[in-house]
Amino acid sequence: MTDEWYGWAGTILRVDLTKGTIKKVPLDKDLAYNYVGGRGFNSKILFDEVKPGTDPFGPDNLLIFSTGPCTGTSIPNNGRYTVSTLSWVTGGLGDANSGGYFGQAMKYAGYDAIVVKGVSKKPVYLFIEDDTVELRDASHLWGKDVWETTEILMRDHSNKGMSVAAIGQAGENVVAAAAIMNDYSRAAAKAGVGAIMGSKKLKAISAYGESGIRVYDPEEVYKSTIEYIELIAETDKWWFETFSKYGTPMFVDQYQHLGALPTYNWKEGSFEHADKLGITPLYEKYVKKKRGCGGCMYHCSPWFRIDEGPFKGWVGEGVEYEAMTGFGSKLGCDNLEVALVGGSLCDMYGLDYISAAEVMGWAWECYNEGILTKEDTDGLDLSWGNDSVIHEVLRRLANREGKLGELLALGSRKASERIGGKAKYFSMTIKGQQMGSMDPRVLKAWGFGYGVSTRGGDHLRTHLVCEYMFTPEEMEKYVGDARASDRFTITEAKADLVRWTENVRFLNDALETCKYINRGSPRSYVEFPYRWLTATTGKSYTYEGLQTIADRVLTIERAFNVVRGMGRKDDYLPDRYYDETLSTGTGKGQRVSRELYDKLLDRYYEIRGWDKEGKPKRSHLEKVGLKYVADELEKLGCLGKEAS
Amino acid sequence: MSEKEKLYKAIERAGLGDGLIGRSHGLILEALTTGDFCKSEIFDKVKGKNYLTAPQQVIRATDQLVEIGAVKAVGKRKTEYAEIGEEEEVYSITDRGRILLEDLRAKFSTFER
Amino acid sequence: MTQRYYLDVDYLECCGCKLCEEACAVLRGGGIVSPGTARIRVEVRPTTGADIPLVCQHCEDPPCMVCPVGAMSINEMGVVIIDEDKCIGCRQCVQACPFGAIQIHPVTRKAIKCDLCGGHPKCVEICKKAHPPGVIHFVKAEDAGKFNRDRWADRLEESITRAMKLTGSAISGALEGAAADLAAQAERGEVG
Repeated sequence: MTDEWYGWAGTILRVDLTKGTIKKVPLDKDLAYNYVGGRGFNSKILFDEVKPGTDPFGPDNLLIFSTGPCTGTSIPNNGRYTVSTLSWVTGGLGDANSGGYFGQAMKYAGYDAIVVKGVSKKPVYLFIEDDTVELRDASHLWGKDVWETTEILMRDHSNKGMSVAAIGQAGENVVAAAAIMNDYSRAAAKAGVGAIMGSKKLKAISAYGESGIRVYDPEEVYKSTIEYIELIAETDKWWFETFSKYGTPMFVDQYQHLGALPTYNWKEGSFEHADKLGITPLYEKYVKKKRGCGGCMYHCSPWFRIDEGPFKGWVGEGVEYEAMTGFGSKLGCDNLEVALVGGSLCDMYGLDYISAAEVMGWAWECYNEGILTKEDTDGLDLSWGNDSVIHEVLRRLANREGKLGELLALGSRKASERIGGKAKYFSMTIKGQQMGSMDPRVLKAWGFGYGVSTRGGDHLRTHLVCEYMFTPEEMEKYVGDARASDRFTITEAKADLVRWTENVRFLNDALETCKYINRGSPRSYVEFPYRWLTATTGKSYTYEGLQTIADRVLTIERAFNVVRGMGRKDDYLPDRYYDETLSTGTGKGQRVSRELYDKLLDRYYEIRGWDKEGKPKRSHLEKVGLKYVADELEKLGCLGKEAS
Repeated sequence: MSEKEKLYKAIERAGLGDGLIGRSHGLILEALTTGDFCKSEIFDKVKGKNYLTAPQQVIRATDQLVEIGAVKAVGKRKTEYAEIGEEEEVYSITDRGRILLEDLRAKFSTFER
Repeated sequence: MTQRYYLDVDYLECCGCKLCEEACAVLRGGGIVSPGTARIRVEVRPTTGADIPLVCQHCEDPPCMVCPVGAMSINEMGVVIIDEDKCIGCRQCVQACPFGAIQIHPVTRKAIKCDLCGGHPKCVEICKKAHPPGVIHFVKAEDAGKFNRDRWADRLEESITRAMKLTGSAISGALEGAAADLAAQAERGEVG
């Protein structure tokens, strides 16, 4: 922490793994004030410093860990951080966001961001404790899983309070689904960020700090936090009580009722055995306690232990909807214990539940359609409903073992390119990023958000729960059109809704707050982010000003992808959602109309200031303070056409 | 203060003025004139009207009606919606709710869109 | 001293969010927000699921009152208060506290400890709001243990009433049976 900064710590670490050097660099004021933090920092730094043609596994790719100005300041759910890189899964922007305690630990140590470049000759870990920042030998850790790595580091440094971000075998083996784990069970999971970390031979970062930060107006920080919690308790009462009680596993029951539960590799939206995977069996037998991340107002994380049966003794935390569907309904399986242990295995190997489950869903469907045979699967039987092979498949995936392991390690887009034929149809990816969460056919705006997400198939750029949680009256008042509340229908208003949510959701990724603090309560999105930023940093932010910053970052992210050849063609959903109607559940008969989707794209690009191909126009770039980006796009021949 | 005055004061206090009480609430109140129901049952009655397509919209709109005293909980019932709760509250329309319904009917020619 | 208070911690329910620690540091950290400036600290153990708030126990016979320069005194709430002007940062009190509840502030270099925020502890308030009914309770000293007793009794009541619902008729049948046995024994002259 430096004396002149409030909110932000004021220092960035620049780590060069090739040279083995670490530099402490003052935080640039323009970066701080105009990009806020977290994903805002990362996307700008990536655009500026990672040029087209860079090899994702080469020394010039950056792996950036960033916190926000509100990290560690006691505002609700302030314990998040974002990891960004040039992703080899998408070939474009890749980022992942995680909770736990790591963001706060590095911030309290005095660092807003850690920018890692280069490739280390030998495995290393980065040790951070206040002023002490060192690269240390990690050869004794290489090959070990995340949990064991964390234990060893805590023991070696006699500090049970340290936070450890680490890769497991999956990251070391440069697997597409590799995540960076922190605090045992929290994951910066998407985009294969774990694979980039593994390619750099960076095994872990440990962080602990007491140097601390300053906040500008402590009384207002505290007052607005209490006010906020009271607002949610009052205007989002059901959400506050139920989510605190059950955590994300409640979405299994919820999405089953919405007809949105990914089933049989996303073929269907409701599962005949969903009741075996929901909160009733989970809380009856397995959950012993609830935990939370740093600053959390919900304690959504179920800590479980299996007390009898074939998996007796298995424990884990952060039981997640994605594991229950990923190792459950997506594969036609209904064994809750297999799903729970599958989640813990992913935490140990360092695997993204979503990406692992998606490539497995791909493999399962290919196998059941006869596209993959037992020869391709090394003899494993991937029939729908066969849960007995799930843990073995995860192990082989993490370790790139055998023909199957090698194939799955590529991720389903590249794997289906290798297999050819209809395999591609079963790859549920957008820009190569494997999909999670819910079915786009029954939540049309949210589904559209997956398509245009700047990091590829992703539900969190918009996390568009307001489509089903705002009342139509709230939708009318805050977004402008009540029709957006009809989740089954595509209306032009949905493009505006997607832009609005992308912008307010960017604020979660910039302040670094968990997205669960903004659900059904409209004021929570609009009013509190600028109040918190102003109270913590002392800089005067407004709702409108933050909208401009969001426009700026979303556009620079788009530019990052555009200079790598991405455009409109990459903003579509997998064919399944256009071509197949749901045959079960409350979404029966629903599919996405290509014609209407195209209209949404046209409208979305227009209001974003991009041309019909989705390329940012100079007029918009200059409006949001990105003239230099316009110049660069023009030089590379990717600038959007002005006239429509 | 009359019941009607109390109603509109409650709406203001809850921050639900300025059009935030509307057709959705009219539909819910109408459903409750035919009996006492829990949220998932109300949803089944009103779904498809006024863009109401998810139970969560009805959950929140009903909670808003509880907050302004237009509706009150009178019991509990077990339903299949585990994500709403182990048991769901059963709701009944109040006198204030009937006044609100009348005003909403006067304001909107129809609650369906 | 008028009334002694202390902070009753529910160790079974704490979720490890550290909002208590953060709020304390923000409001009472002397301008620095860090675990080192908070007067309550939460140790988290994700592998066992235990989350442990650690704070001054406001002891009846405080072992921390070992200050060589008279910087420590006890106020009307029974709380040990440190006069920062007198404190020399010798760490005798830090070492004496078996709970590690006293820290040296990283910038002022003076000892800091919980003083119950003068009677309106903020850690209690924020925990109650974020995680109703809260896991830290501001209680009168004589109510120590009451929370645990009440909670345990609540849990037992739940199990008991469940058992009664299942076996109600069996219990009353058993009681009737026992009464009938006694009556038969009495008739046989076997009861004295």
